[in-house]
Amino acid sequence: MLKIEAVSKQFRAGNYGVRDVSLELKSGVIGLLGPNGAGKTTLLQMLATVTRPTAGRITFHGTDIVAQPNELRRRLGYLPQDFGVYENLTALEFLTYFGALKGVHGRKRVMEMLETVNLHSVADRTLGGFSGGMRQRLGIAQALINDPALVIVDEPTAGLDPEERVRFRNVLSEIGFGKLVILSTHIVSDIESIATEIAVMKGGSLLTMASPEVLLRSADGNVWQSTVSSEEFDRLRTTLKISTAIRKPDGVHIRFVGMAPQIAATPVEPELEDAFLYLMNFGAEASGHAT
Amino acid sequence: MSDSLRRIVAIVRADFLLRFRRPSTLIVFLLLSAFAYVWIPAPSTGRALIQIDGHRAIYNSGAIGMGTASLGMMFVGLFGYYVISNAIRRDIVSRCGVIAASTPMRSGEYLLGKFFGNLAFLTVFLAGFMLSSMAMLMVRGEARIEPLIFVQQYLLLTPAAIIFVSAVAVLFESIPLLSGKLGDVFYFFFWMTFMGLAIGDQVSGGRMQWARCLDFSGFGFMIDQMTRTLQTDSVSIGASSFDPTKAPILFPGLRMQREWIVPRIVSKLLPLLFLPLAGLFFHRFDPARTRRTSDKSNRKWIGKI
Repeated sequence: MLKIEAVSKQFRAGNYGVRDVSLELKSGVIGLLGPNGAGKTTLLQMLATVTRPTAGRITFHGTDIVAQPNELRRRLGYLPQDFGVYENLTALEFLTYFGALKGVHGRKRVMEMLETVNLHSVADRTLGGFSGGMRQRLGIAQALINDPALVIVDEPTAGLDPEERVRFRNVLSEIGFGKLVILSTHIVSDIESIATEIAVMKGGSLLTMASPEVLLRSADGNVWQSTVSSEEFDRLRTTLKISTAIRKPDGVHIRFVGMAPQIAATPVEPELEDAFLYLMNFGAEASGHAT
Repeated sequence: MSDSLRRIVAIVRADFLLRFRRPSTLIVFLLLSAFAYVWIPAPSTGRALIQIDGHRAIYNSGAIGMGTASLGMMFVGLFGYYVISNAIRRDIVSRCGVIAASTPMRSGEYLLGKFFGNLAFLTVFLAGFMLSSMAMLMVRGEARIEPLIFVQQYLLLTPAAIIFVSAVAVLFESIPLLSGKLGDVFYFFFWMTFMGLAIGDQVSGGRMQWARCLDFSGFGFMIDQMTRTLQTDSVSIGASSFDPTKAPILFPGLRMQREWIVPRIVSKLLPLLFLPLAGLFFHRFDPARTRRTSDKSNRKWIGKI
């Protein structure tokens, strides 16, 4: 469906936002995971035809989307990072506006989308009074209003409270069927339950792309658990790659990734968060396992 | 209706609703209307809207219509740009522009939509001001209301300014260098240059007739018509003191003269050339070409409308 071949984006200052990324994506929910500054947003902006790659080629069903962007734009839904709204428009007016830009007309489809994201009861309220979660749901509604084949959502859960994040995740998992949904995030829990494949980026490059199961296997035997004193914890936190730390009466229970622990520790089964941390810090070996 | 036209209409409608729902729009409108009240003082104060060789002009539809239309024209020309030149920036800041850029919408449709949005806002704003100014005839009027004469003054003076400001705002917002403070400063001199040319033509006794085509403010046309109608160069407009011993005179209002027909049409069409020029510079919200700076309206109170 979507093929990315050796794509790079070099900025005027000479630095790279994305460097030599190749991917081939079919339908399903693809999680694009990476720390801030990894190049996720730049890659998604190129896929959304908002900015052009400086090298490489992107094709959608065989059509070069740089040369013919409208072939993709007609079938694209895009929700950018830090999406804002027109505060003086109502939800209905806002969706009608973006519907018109996408060639979708009529109140019926707009109301359908508002129902999908559970905002139909506030359709006539101005957006200035909407919470962050409501705005994000409206954002996904505008992305879906043209029934797109490709949905791109960039850090959609940033700034949402836990309940809103779960609700938003559910909406995304429901729309994934038959479409290609690319969801970028730096929060592993956003994608661990819904992503069929995960692409991990760091420093503008793609470290790996694999199913969650394969990613988990890449960290097998490299995730450890130990209980240490508070003083020890303060010392270890600078040397170990700790994924979780919980203070309990018997000390601090830590979970960390690494190849050969220098302290007494027991191996544990990896979780996606561990696998991600392992990839970020031991990228070469880890991605070798994952691909 | 074609998809293209629907998109343009949608952009115009959204812009229009956004601007008219802001409380500051009402505040600016009320301030302008209040200024019109001061601009047209009661003759008992020793001041009048129009003074001609010491005579005051009777407050009829021609005088009040022309006086308030010239005030409206000055407002559009000097402040209108600062009021409307945040439409594209608003889309950059909110990221709604990035979403729009990912749709099949053409850049030309977007720029036309923004131009017509500016045009619609300034037109409706001035139409409202015209209606409130008509009410001044009830307060200050010394003759019966002649709506056609009143509207005629606005139609003769303001459309070129509205079109010019709407098009320049789209052009400047499309050029990164002029989309900020530099553009604000540059615009002032840009407007004053054209106004200076129009006045220069009048001062030179019509030896710069080509400048009439650049009379976007309508100021040159207004001076020329007043000079011809009143047969004098000594005219002042706006709360001017007059000699109460001299009898008031009748000013019938501005009328279109044959020699001004072409320049007035050209001055309305010329600013449209700014739009294709804007298309050459427009960034289509490419993040590599736009900076997501703080909202321009935050640094300009007037920009909030």
